[in-house]
Amino acid sequence: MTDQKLIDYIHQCREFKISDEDIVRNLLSVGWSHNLIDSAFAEISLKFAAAKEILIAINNLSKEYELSKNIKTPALKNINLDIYKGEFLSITGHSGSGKTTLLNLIGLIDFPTSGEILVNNENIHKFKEKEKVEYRLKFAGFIFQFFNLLDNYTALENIIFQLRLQGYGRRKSKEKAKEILKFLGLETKANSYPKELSGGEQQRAAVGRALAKDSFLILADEPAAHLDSKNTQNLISLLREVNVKFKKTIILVTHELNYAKQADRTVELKDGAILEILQNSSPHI
Amino acid sequence: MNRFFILISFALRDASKNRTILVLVIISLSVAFSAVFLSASILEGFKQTLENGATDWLGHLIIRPADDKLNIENIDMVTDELKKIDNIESFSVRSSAVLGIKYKNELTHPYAAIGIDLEKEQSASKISDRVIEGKFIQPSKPEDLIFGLTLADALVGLDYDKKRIDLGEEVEITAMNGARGAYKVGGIIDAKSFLPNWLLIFPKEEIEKIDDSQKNSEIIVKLKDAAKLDETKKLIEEKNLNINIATWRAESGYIDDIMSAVSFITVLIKRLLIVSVFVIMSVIIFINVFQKRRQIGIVKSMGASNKFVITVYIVETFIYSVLSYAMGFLIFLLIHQYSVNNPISLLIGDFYTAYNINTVWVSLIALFGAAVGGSFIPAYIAAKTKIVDVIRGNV
Repeated sequence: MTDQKLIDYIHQCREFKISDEDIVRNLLSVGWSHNLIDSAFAEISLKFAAAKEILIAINNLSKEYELSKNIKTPALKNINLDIYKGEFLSITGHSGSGKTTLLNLIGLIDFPTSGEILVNNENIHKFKEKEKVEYRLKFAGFIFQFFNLLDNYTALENIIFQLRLQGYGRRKSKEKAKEILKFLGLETKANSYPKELSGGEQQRAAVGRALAKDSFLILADEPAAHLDSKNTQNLISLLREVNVKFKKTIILVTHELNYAKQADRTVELKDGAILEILQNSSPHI
Repeated sequence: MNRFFILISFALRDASKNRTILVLVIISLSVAFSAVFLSASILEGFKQTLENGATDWLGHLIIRPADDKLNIENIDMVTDELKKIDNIESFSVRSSAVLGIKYKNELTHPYAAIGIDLEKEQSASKISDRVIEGKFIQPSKPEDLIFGLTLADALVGLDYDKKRIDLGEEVEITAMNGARGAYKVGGIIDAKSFLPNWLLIFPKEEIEKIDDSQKNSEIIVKLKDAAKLDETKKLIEEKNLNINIATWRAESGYIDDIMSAVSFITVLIKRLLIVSVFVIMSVIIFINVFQKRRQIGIVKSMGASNKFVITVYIVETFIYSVLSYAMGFLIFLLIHQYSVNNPISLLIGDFYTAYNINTVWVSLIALFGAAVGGSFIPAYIAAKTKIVDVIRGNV
């Protein structure tokens, strides 16, 4: 049985925007055991899942790639999954398991062979072109494996550009972009171009750009693939912080299970099908 | 408005960050632009040279006797009425004759001759400015005649072999009525026009002394505003003076023939250049967008629409065009200035390039249309870049 005091403490800490990493550290320092902390986080996650409303409903989703005429290869097979508002979900699996394909379908940058993805009870793949653009602009933010920042723009300008696309004025975008960079610890690199930034800094700038969107959802496709372990952990912690502080739903695609398990839930794919959905007890630091 | 500024800033950034492409585009387009202006100005220059050749000799309107008469019988009434018309700057009454020339004991076949009133002619035509040897008609020397260049050449042999009758040489003139007179070669003119170069020019009183059958045979009229040519012609006609009035263009039908030939060639060149601008722009933007497909995919993943991407490249083309147009126009102005300062002497007159503001506007619209049109297809292809290809690193 989980100690209610522990659960209340975690809630209070989160309200004060203390990261889960720091909460765990604090609890361990005052003598709480790993087991109790894990079960408290697990219970919070379960309640969270039960209380939260469904943001994205994926029903019988399949995707086949046509390699050549009459030769098709299945990438996703009959996927059914609900993603909750404010959730940090990770999708993991071996190479070719279909995790990126699933993310691309959710991000509306690829199209399913059958099935549907419902957002607010609307099948996003039936959107008209204008609605698709609106979805990418206002609903889903992307963090890519190759960072994909605009080369001709500085870190600050990359974020400003995203904000201005959404209709923010020049001054307001600049202020907001500076705030985001400050949050990311990149304020000293504001005027650096992508080629002048390290891999970790580029990826943080990419997180900043996704954060600049008024979106509910951040889709991160192997964002740490080109980072060392320290930067990877920093990035995962940053995503968690974004998830808690800005109440963004995050879907993280990663093939590394130890990072995947730091999400609230982990969906493991194998050969295009869901192998299992794990409810993670607490972030593993 | 916000979207417009993003478009402009994105296009400007894109254009300025690709300096090699920017320089290549501006050089190629500005050369093409200047060539378009130049071809238009060559046509305009030819037109002006031919027009000047005709109007410098004939004025803007030519009045002749009605029916088959040889004289304007009511000359005083006609000249009085002409004086009353505001748009008429000046006019000159001429007399004509057909005369035989005896030079070095050889009698030639008859040539056309005119008699002019020096003072009035100087204000109505520029024939007196065309003297290349000797002096123009001098009231103090009525026996001195002026020969058209071709006629002066023809009297001694081949045309334009640089051998012509010398100044001061004597010629005997014989009229159709048998009257004769001895005269001297006072000057030679090169009117840069076909007809006056075959003429023999007398003082008006002098030609009438020999043969007055075609006294007051024509009046040349110079207008203040040549654009009101037809209007002024109609005004004179409405006075019912029993005269024939022709415009300089109707009198110089050959100009239209030459113009249509020159026009065909220059219009063809101009159209080819416009097509080349279209192709240049297509190729450049295509290369440009081909290199930037990754960036286009990223922008689309950020929420930019296809329309946004197309507009960015059209705006970019617009920027290239504005810069190229300015530079092309500058190149053209330098060539034009050189041409004006160093006209080419042709048989039809001194040729130099000319342009009018309408030509500039028409060229501007045509070239911008070609440039923007040329960029549309590659911009459309660019807009179709798939985000998924960018994510997979396929572009």
